[in-house]
Amino acid sequence: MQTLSPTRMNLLQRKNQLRIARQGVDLLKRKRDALVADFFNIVRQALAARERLNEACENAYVVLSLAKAVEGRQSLEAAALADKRELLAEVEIVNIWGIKVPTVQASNIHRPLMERGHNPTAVSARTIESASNFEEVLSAILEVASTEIKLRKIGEEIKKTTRRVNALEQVVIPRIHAEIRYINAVLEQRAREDVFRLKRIKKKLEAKKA
Amino acid sequence: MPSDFGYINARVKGMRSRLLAPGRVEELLSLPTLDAFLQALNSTPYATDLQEALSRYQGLRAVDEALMQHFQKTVRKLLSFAEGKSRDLIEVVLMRWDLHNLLVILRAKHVGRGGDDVESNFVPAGTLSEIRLKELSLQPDIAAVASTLATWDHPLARPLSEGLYRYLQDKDLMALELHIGRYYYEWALRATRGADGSAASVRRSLETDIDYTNLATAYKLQLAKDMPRAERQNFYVPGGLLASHVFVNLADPETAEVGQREIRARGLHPEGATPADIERWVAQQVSRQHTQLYLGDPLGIDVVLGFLAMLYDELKNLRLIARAKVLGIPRDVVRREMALA
Repeated sequence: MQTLSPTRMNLLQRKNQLRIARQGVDLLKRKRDALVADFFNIVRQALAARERLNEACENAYVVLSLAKAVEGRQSLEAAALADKRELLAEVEIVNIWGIKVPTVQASNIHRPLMERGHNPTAVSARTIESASNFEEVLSAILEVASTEIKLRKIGEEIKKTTRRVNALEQVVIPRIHAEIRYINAVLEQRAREDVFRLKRIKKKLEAKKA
Repeated sequence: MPSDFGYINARVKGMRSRLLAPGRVEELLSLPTLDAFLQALNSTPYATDLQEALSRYQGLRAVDEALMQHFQKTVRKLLSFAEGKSRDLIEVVLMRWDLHNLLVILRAKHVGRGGDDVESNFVPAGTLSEIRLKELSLQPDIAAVASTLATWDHPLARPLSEGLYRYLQDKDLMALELHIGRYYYEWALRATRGADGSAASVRRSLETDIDYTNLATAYKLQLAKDMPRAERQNFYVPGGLLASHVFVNLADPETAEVGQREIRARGLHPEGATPADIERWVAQQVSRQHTQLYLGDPLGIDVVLGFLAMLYDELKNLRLIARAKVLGIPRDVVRREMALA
């Protein structure tokens, strides 16, 4: 407060700052509300994706276990040796309320029977079913990754926005208010001093005349 | 040492007593946890193998290793008191494990893998010993595997060498696998030609295997909707009673109904809606037919074939029960999946 010079110019500047800060709070609150609405939508998507993943894993592991039990680990792992591929995932950056959110997508996760490289005369139906189920698990994992990273990014942004709103409401606006009050007080004091001085001068002039 | 099946069967019947009784299997199924299952398994003939496996692995892996070790030991023991023609006949049956091991090696070489990944998937219950399998797995590529196998004069070296040229041109591993698989049955049927009762039993058993393999393959191929009809023919294994046109009809989703009528006319009534259900039915039929052989000719190979089927069924059942304990699979689901003992 000591460095602030109590001038009318500074008063006007502070009043302008206060108006901008209030506008900023309003805008940030609206952004936060929109983000929260988006957040809850994505929470629903994330829960659905998690549920899909859990269901896919449950099916996949039960079928895999049955396949391992009936065919033997050796047969299953031997089948897996022939089924090796590279899966390219596409990461696209999407802008949501100024936040850069990556979305992960991969095509061709689910393959037809013959593209897995399994020989149908040597590989059991359970192994085929198991491979198909794990393709579904992979697809569900990518969906979970995509929704959960979106959720985390939006959550972080909500936290950041709330911190900004709080900083403006609790620190910046009260400080500008205090500065305005200080400048006003100083200016009023100066005005009173001026009035008093003028009155004294007037009195002295009147005394001289008399 | 005597080489006739009379002696072998007497020994096998002794070994049969070491298989678990259905009541004991039911007891194992009713146990609440894997630990309880492991404890119970410790009071069975699997105890030694289990303790050995538990020193190297944990949980299900230990169970799998112990069961497979027990299976291999039993097979080796069975072979140890067979010689001459009877041993040759038993080896024809056990050659399917050589086929399995060879496919493991070929797949690994195809994708450039080796070492423990390959060796841990071997089942040395065939004619190729563990040392020979390791030597094969150390070869740098499929061509070298074919050469090594040929130097040992192994029956599967021929189809591997035959298919090698085409494989090197188009890198189509499946075509090579199909060729070797078909050759195995062709070779085994040729090796069991003749009037000998035991050879005829093995031949019948192979024909049953071929028929049920074709049946299960046809149902699996129904999943490949856009495969040309002519290509489906490539998966047919000749040598069984199921004709190739019936197989193709059954394998093609458009003519599957015709195929089903044709197989019903041949006395096959597969039950189930999915290929996995059909395969379960097929496995149960094969298991039933093979285990019945145990009560067949006491002076022929039937008893050995029946015993081997029962032994492998028991191994599958125990693997299933162990997994049911870990994953909490309901008992009725396990019972449905279990092989008939």
